[in-house]
Amino acid sequence: MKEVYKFGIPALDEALGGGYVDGSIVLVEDEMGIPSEVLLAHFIVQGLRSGDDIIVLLSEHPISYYIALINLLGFNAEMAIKMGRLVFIDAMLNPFVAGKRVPYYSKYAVRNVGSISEVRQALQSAIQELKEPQKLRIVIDSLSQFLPPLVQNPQQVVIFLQQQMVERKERGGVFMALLHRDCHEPQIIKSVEYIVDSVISLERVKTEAGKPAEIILRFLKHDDLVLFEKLQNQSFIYKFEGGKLAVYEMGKIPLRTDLGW
Amino acid sequence: MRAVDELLKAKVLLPAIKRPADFDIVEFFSEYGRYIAHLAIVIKNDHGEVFYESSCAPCSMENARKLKTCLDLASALDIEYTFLVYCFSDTVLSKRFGVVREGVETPPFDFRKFICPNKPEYRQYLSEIIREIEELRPSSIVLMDVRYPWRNFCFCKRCRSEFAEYAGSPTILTSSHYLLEVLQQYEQYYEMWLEWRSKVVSEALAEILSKKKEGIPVYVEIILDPVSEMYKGLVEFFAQDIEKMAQFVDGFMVNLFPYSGVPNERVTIEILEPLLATNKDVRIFYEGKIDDRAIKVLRYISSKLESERVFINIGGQK
Ligand SMILES: [Zn+2]
Repeated sequence: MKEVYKFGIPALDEALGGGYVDGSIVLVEDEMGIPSEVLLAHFIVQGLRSGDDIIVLLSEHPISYYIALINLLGFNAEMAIKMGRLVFIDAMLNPFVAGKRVPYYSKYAVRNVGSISEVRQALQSAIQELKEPQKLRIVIDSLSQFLPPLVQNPQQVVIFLQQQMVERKERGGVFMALLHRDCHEPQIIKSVEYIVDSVISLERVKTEAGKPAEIILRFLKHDDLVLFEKLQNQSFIYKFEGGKLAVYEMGKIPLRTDLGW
Repeated sequence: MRAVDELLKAKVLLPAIKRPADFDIVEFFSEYGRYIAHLAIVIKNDHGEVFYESSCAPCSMENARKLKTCLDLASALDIEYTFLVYCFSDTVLSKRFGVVREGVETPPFDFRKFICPNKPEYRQYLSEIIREIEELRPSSIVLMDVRYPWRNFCFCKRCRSEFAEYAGSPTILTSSHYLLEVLQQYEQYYEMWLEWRSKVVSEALAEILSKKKEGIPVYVEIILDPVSEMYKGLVEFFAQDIEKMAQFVDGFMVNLFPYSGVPNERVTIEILEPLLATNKDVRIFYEGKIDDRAIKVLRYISSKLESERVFINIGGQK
């Protein structure tokens, strides 16, 4: 059987035909303020449950925030770090939280503001420490820090993604990066979307007048074109029920949330 | 399988399920449920996967559900269940905490899945797993592979430097690469090395159980293969010192011939004597090929031990 990389969210895994295939480069686009990190945390925890190795690069959240998210999803993040299966790369640029970092959690840091070449180096060292992992998940939250207007030129990110594309196809693993759509010029978004295999979009949508906006998840691109025929017609509600992330297809009866872990 | 079938139904042998993921639990219970008093089932395998919802070890939801069905059925049918936990064999983590071989001697199994028992982080990881599975209320827990894989292990950096310190850091041990051969030439160091290794394994055993509450009895697996002089072989090959280990457990589970798979008629109850002398409970586990000779040996051992204590791996036979 072919190795797949699941979210551990039944509605999404089912829609993807089981999960992402080995070598996929996935872009998650959101709008500022949407809690997309919970989706990424699910992807991380599902990886830990599947025995995969995980590298997480954070440029917008302190590592302790992700540790808390992972713990909330029922997996002991500290233990996973100790076992060397979960590696964080610290690329936080916010000087106000920088001092609170616990050095033990991360051996790798990106200190040069917006430097994607440092990101690449840190990623390389982290992968090396994992000793050629069989199944690897790389999660980046987020790429926005490395794109205009925060840096001058989008070219570095484009090259970085192309390199990831080649590396993952050769050595395996899935790469997933978050991008805030409303932070960048549309043509920059387009140039990034163009490279990747699959694009998930999260946006706030008014579904009914007078009601608060809902977060809708859609697939904007998927390299399996047969699957994409179906995916492009599906929309998913992304919401929190009883503190848990619930994702279900619009117009369908919500899947029982306890089907996840 | 007919003979096994009869022996299971006659309660001479007890079933052990080594690969719960590939096993049809419901079918098994409908066929044998009413005859079985006690079932052993692997809860963490040597790949590193567990079969319950763990907060620290890999597990698929499907397998966790399967095990839950099994435990629910067992409880409903009043069947006791014992968990087998593979300890220092774990493919998922062996690339990080793996053993280092010295020399060319190759054990008759894939040693690359073995973890060095001298790794504190990994011991803590196991203790966490024991804490979690205790919540599932097994009637006992059996710790498998609490050992070094073979006599030419482990020469990792940590083992080397700790042993050198233990031995008083003589020059031959502090040089950047001392070898097993060198140790064997200096008898006093070789003895010390065996002593030190069994100390490591016993300490590992104690640490694995450090988070366990009182109550559920714990057994440790002892391999009776390939050595004939069991006592000497155990320490030399696996660094398992029965007396040291006995301090921390309620009993031993003897794994008969897991590698050679050749049940020998010479094997009699006598080989179990050093174990029985510890006054601890002794159980048998047989996972090898099931043929007439194996059945004969198992039946004999079973008749010599007081209660029903012989577990036989059913399903997923090689
Ligand atoms: Zn070692």
